[in-house]
Order: sequence, then C-alpha cells, then structure tokens
Amino acid sequence: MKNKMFYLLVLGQVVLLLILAGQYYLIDSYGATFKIYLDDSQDYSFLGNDRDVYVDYEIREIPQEKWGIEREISSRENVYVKLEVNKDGVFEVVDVADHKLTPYDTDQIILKAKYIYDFSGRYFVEYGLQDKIPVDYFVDVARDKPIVASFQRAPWGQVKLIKIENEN
Amino acid sequence: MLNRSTLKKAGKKWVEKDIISPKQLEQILNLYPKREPRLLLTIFSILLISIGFLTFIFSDWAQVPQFSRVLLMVLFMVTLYVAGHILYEKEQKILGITLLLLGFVAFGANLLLAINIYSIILFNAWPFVLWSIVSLFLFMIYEHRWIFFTGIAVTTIGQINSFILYDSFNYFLIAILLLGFTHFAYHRKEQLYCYLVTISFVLQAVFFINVYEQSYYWLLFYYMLLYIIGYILKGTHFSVSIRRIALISTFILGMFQSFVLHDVYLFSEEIEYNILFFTVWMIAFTGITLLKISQNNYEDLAPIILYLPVFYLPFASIFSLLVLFTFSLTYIMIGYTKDNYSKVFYGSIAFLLSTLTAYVQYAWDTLNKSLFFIIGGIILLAMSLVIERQRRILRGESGDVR
Repeated sequence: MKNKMFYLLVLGQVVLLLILAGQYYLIDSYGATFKIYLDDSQDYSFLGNDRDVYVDYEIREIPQEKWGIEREISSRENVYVKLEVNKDGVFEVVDVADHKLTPYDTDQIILKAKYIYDFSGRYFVEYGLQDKIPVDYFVDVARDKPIVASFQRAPWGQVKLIKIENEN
Repeated sequence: MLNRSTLKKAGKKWVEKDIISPKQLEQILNLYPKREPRLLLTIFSILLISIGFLTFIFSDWAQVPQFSRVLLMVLFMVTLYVAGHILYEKEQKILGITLLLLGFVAFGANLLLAINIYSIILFNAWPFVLWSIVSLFLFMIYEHRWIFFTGIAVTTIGQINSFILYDSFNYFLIAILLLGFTHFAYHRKEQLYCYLVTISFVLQAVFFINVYEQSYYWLLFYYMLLYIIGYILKGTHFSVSIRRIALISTFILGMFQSFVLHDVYLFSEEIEYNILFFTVWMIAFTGITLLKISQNNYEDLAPIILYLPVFYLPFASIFSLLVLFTFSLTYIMIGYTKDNYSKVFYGSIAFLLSTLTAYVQYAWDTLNKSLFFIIGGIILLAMSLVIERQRRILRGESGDVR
C-alpha cells in the first residue's frame, strides 16, 4: 500500500512536469498567431546583457480613453484586455475590463493581465509575456523602424514567442 | 522537559551527596534521549543542497528551453525520490527522509524551471498549491516531522507569494492547511505539529486582512476565535499550543496597535465604527467570558483583556498600553499566587515588552537619541535583574533544576 502510494505520487509529479513542458511544444500546432508592437520609445541595440535583450511591449501602456474600468482597482489585480487588429495586421488595445470579455470575431483577442499602476492618464499592465529575448532574434531587425513581435497563442492561454521582425 | 546535560551535572552532585547511587543516575539519564548532533548536520546539508538546486535552476545551462534538459532534471528528481524510499524502507530512516525531502525540493525546482524557461504565464499561486499538496501526500505516506515542517513552510510561503505577486489570498492553500495539516496535527498528538499549524494560520490571517483591505483590528477577532477554539479544546494536546500562539500573536498585535493608535495618520489607518466587526466581536467576547465564568474559571479571565477593542475609546493609545500592562501584571500575580514559575516568567517578559513599547512611543520624539538608547538599556538591565531575582527565589522555593 505504502509502496503503491509512493510510486503513484512520484508518477503524478513526473506527469505534471512533462505536461508543463509538453504544452509548450503543442502551442505550435494548436495556437493562433498574433503580432504586437514593441514599445518604440526605446532603442533595443544596447539594452540587456550580451545574450539577451529586454523588451517592453506597446500594449502594456493603455491610454485613459481605452481604460474601461470605472472603479479604483488595486495594484496586481487581474484585468482583461481586448486587442483588435489594425490595418497593418498588428494588434492594439481597444478595451480593458475587470471581468471576462469575449472576442467579437477573429480580429479580436483577449489577454489577461495584471494592473500595475497609472500615471497621468496612462495605465500600465503586465501580461507575463516573455520580455527577455535572445539577441539572435534581432539579427535582421532594423532598429529605426517599428518592431513587431509575433506570438503563438494556445487555446489554454499559454503564449509563445515566434519571431521579432520589422513591420511590413 | 529537562535538558540531559544539565541533569547530568546536577545528578553528579546528588551522587556525591549520596542521594542516589551512580547506577540510579544512569537509569534516570537513560530516560532522557541524547540529542544527535548528526541530525543538525543532516538538516544543514538538506538546506544547502536545496539552495543549490534552486540556484542551479537559474544558471545558464538550465535556462535554455530544451526538452532533454527538463527530462534530465525530472530523472534526477525521480532518482532522489526512489533512493530515499528504498533507504527508508530498509530502516535507514534519516538518510531516507533526507533524500525524499531533496526529491521534494527538486520537484519544486523543476516546477520553477518549467515555468521559467517556457515563460508560462501565472495569474495565481497554483505552483505552490501543487507543491503543498505533494508535501501533504508525502507526509501521509511517511508521517515524518521534517516533512510536516517543510509542508507547512511551503504552504505559508505560497500564501506570501500569492500576496506579493498577485495581491490575492489563496483559498486552496488555507484549505490545505486547515483540512489537511490540521487533521494530522489533531490526530497524531504531536505538540510540534500543533504549533506549526497555528503559526501558519496566524501568519496567513495577516495576509488575508491585507488583501481584503480590512483594518488591522480584524486580526483581533481572528486571533480571539483561535483562542476560543483553543479554550474549547481544553484537555486535548492541541489546546495549549493554540492558546499560547493566539496570546503571543495578540500581544504582538497589541504592541503594534499601540503604535498605530499613537499616530493613526502615519499608518494611514482609519479607525471607523464598523458595525459588523463590533457585532461579531461582541458575540465572541461575551461567549468566551460567559463560558469561563460558568466554569468558575475566574483567573483565566486575565488573557481576554487583550481582546478588548480599545481603539474605540478616546485616548486609545494610552488604553492600548494599559491593556498590555494589565495583562502582564495579572499574569505575574496569578503566577505568584499559584506558585507557577512559567506564568511569572512569561508575565515578566510581557511586562518588559510593554515597558519597551511605552518607552519607544513616548521617548523617541522627546529625548536626545543617545540618551534614548542609554536610558532604554538601563531599563532593560534593571528589568532583567528583577526577573533573574524572581527566578532565583522561585527556584529556591521549588528546588527545581532549571
């Protein structure tokens, strides 16, 4: 009995870790692609260490008029951000709510985020998207043009960075 | 419990004075287990190796998202677990538990690793929930106190993590504590388990009120509930630890409260009349008072002074100090009348802390800083002399070896 329980417990842990790792590789087959801008107020040539570049995404900063939450919310509280594709095929924030949102069509996606703080009418949120990116991704990217990051997003909510490129 | 080495020293005197024979001393000493220094070394080795795992996770080697590396780490974890299990079954208990615990830490490290390299997005503390559940199951299988300790630590740290990163209170973690660990603490009749569970509860209550932006005084109610539970369970092994921890935490809260009330704006607290708090407080407070009176347990009324909601009164800061002093003095007095050494001792410590609280509040602003420390030191010295004197008197009276 004790033996059985022990091996079951260990097996459970192994399975769990393999699921966590495995889902990353499944995102490629089941995910849908979306693109977002990198924050253009920064020059990404010199940031980070020799191997990685630390990036900020444009959608982390939300102007007052798109912030759809009336009440005062506390820092680190969860919010839902609705993104909509623009004419260049890149997603931008259109609405924020403190409750679950549903996308209207495939031109919209909903990302869950944490509200951090606001400053003179601009609200800052955190999506948990990968922000430390290996330098290799930037090899063919011109720093003086708008940069976009392509992500693959799985139905179970996990997101994977595919590539960094200039806007077409 | 008496310390073996002090007993040995005292025992030699008894042998010299022909009170007992050397053989009897030996027999008495055999009643007291030797502390194994090896145990401490083992615990330190577990700690060091665990820290090693956790830092390795953030090394360059581990930061590349490759499935083979995760697989290697998982294999390593399984090896630790299985080796630990086999050794434990072969009666190599300590080594076995050590390896099992290292396997457990490796699991947590692997969770962290997977989350980190695959940038898994987290919106609550579920990794800690899983980690705590694993510790609970491990404890169910081996029933070892180290596993219990580790499990409680992981659960509590998980709650802190949930508060800091997500500003939320994790109900799964408190459920694991209250349904899982408390169950074992209650049924295994181990003092240590009871203390650990209660301390974790007391800490989690602090995060609870912070997340829900309740005022600090709600803690007074939660700790009173804890105390009442301890009182109702009187006669069981759980009771002492619960009441002790409840009183200690309320006392610390009382010290904190006197600072808050001294300068409400500094702590940005709003002491407003909260009807809900007052109602539930009233019910609980009357309940416990009546219960004690009906049992003719008058001297036991002293501790509940700590639970008075003095913050409603004018000059609340002074009243909050008064509560602390009254509590300490009644404890000392009861201890003297009942010849209860430990009550006098704890009462004196409480008195010392109350004095310090009052001193810091009233002297910090007015006194020159160096004078502040010198006078504070002198007060402490005088108090410690008084306590030491009491201790000797009591020791002389009871003839106890301490």
